[in-house]
Parts: sequence; C-alpha cells; structure tokens
Amino acid sequence: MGYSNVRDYRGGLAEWAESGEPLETTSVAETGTESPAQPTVGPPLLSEGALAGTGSARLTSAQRWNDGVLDLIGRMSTLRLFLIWIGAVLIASFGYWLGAVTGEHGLVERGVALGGDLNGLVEALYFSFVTATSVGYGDIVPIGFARVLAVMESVAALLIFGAVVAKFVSHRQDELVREIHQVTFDERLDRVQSNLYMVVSELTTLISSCEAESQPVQHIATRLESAVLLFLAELRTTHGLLHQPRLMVEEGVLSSILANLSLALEGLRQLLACLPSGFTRSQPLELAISNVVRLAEDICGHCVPHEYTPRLVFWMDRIQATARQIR
Amino acid sequence: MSSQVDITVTPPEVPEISLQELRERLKSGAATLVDVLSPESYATGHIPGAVSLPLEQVLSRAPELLPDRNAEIVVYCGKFT
Repeated sequence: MGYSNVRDYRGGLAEWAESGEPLETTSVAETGTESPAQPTVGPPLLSEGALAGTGSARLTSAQRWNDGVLDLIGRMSTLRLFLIWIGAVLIASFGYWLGAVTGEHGLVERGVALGGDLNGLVEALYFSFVTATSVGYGDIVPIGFARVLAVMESVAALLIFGAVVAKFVSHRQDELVREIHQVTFDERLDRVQSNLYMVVSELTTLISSCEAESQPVQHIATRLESAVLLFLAELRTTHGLLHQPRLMVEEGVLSSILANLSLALEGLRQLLACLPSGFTRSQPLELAISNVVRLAEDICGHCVPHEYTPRLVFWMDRIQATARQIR
Repeated sequence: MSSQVDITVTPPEVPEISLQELRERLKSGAATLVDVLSPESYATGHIPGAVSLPLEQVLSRAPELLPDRNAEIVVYCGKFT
C-alpha cells in the first residue's frame, strides 16, 4: 500500500500485558480520533464543531441502539420471531375488542358498531390479521382510538414480518458461508500435512547423505534451505492454529500435524549436528532456522491459550524441547 | 545459533520490533502504533496510544487514518485468548 516504514510488533498484546505494562480500555467511539461512517463524497452536512460536540455522541448511541436491536433479532430463532408476530396480532385484536366494549373506540362494519360479545372478538381477530398483513380490505374499519392502534399494529407487524423473512433467507446463506470456510480450512490443513511429510522425508534423505558424506556440503545446504523455508511456512500456520484458533480442528488431524512437526524438527536438529563445523550458513538459512526455533519454542502444552488432550500436549512439549536443543 | 531475529522470511518482509524498542518508540512519540484487532478487542484492552484499524478495514481506511506513507508505523495483533 505504499507504506515504507512499517514494523511488526510480534509480541502483541499478550507480551505487552505480561510485561506489566498498562492497557487502555477506551473503545473506538470514545477515543474521538475516528467517527464511524464518515461521508466520503460531497461536503459534510454539519460543521466540524457540531460533529465534534454532542452530535457525534448521539450518532454513536443511535448506532449502538441499532446494533443492539440487530443483535437481539439475530439471536432469536425464526420461529420465535414469528410467534412474536402472532402475539402482536393477538394483543392488537384484544385491544380492538376492548375498544368495542367501551363503545366509542372499536370497529365498525357497514355502519354498525361491533359489540363486546364473542362475535365482536372474532371480528376483531379478523380485522387484526387483515391489518397486520397490510391487506386492509376495508370491510371493517376502526373508529376513535382503534385507529391509532391499527396504525401502530401495521407498522410493527410489517417490521417483525420483514425480520422473519430476512432470517429465512440469510439462514441458508450463513450455512453456505460456514461450509465454504470449513472446506477451505480443511484443504489448508491437508496441505500442511503433505508439506510436513515432504519436509520430513527430505530431511531424512539429507541426514543419510550427510552421514555417508555422499554429497558435497553445498548441495546439502541448498536442499536444506529450501526444506527449512517450507517447514517455516507450515510451522507458522500451525502456530497460528494453536494460538489464534478460529475454526475447530479434529484431534486426529492436529495430532498428526504436531507429530510430523516434531519429527521434522528432530530431523533438522540431527542434520545441523551432522554438518561439519567449518560449514557457514547462508543468511536466509540462518534466519529461517532461527525463526523456526523461535516459533517452535512458542509451542507447548501450557503456552497455548487452549486446553488440549494429553496426547497433543505431549507432542507440543516435545516440539518445544527439540527447539531448545537446536538453539 | 544467533538469538536475535529481526526479519521474518516470508514476503513481504516486515521488520519486527521488540518490546523494549517499542517502549522507547512510544515514549519519544516516533512511531504510530496500530491495533489490527477487532473493535471489541480494542475496547477490552489495547496498548495506550494505539489507533484501531481492524485487519478487514485496512484497505479501506488506512489512507484516512495513516495519511503519511513515510511515517514509522508499528502494527500488532493479539496472541491473546
């Protein structure tokens, strides 16, 4: 993006907090350095001063209220929302019926006011549904306060019904997105596994040719460099998987990945020990190895944020121990 | 085996910064600190002085939040549960 002087603080929030430094807890909106949804085109409708004052605070509280309502609807099931809609219709019909009981504020059918009897209740129910679905036949009309109730009912019912329909549509979509995520994720895990297998077999070949001294050291170094770079990439993926898990990994898959990681690391250790002392590592190789060690040392049973089964913890601890040996 | 590592190997190469160096940078005000975690995470806790720029908004909002392309910028994420 054209930024020339960017640096990465790898320790992140965790290291910062562990070192005893304070953390700030103001939210984005409160810092005032940014306001949500700034207009990008056209002149601003309000002056800077107006925005900076109570205006922006109101904006954010409206935003918060909006988010809250959406959240609430999001948590409710479709069936529950539909039942709420039915409930609203029933309550409204009861309201019309009560209005009919008092005489002045009920419903009128062809010039005749409906009474507070059972027939009146059924007619009120009918009118309520006609209003809530915004059909409005007009065979029965409200008078007095029932008009206010009818308007409120049709607005509320329309909104709730809209939410029900939206949920119906988005449910399937959400499912699909989740499925796609899972498939992509599984494919990535497959790639991690096959790459780690390649790293292990390459390292094994290199160890045997190093011990037999059948290849020039420089050849071994080149192949080692390529293998270590691949190893580093997959180690980084696994490290992310353990430290920032977003999707669930099957225990069997994770166990196989960790076992292969441990094997590859052990192979790396043996190969480095086998290489003659006069051998100087190239800079990329040196960097890749130290990055491998640093990442691997970060993998152990108690330094990842989740609890894992003893089998996985065993592999993680072993990875850390081997990394320490290499260092 | 050398113990200090400052460069990650995968492209693009972003130099790393240590905790100690970061403290000095923040004290002198030389660097702009960017929190790429979610706004919720930012609200629960962030390094003092950090600007919130969630990863998914980097492309859309970076030019607005970080207009100076030559300024020193330090980014960080979580390693947090």
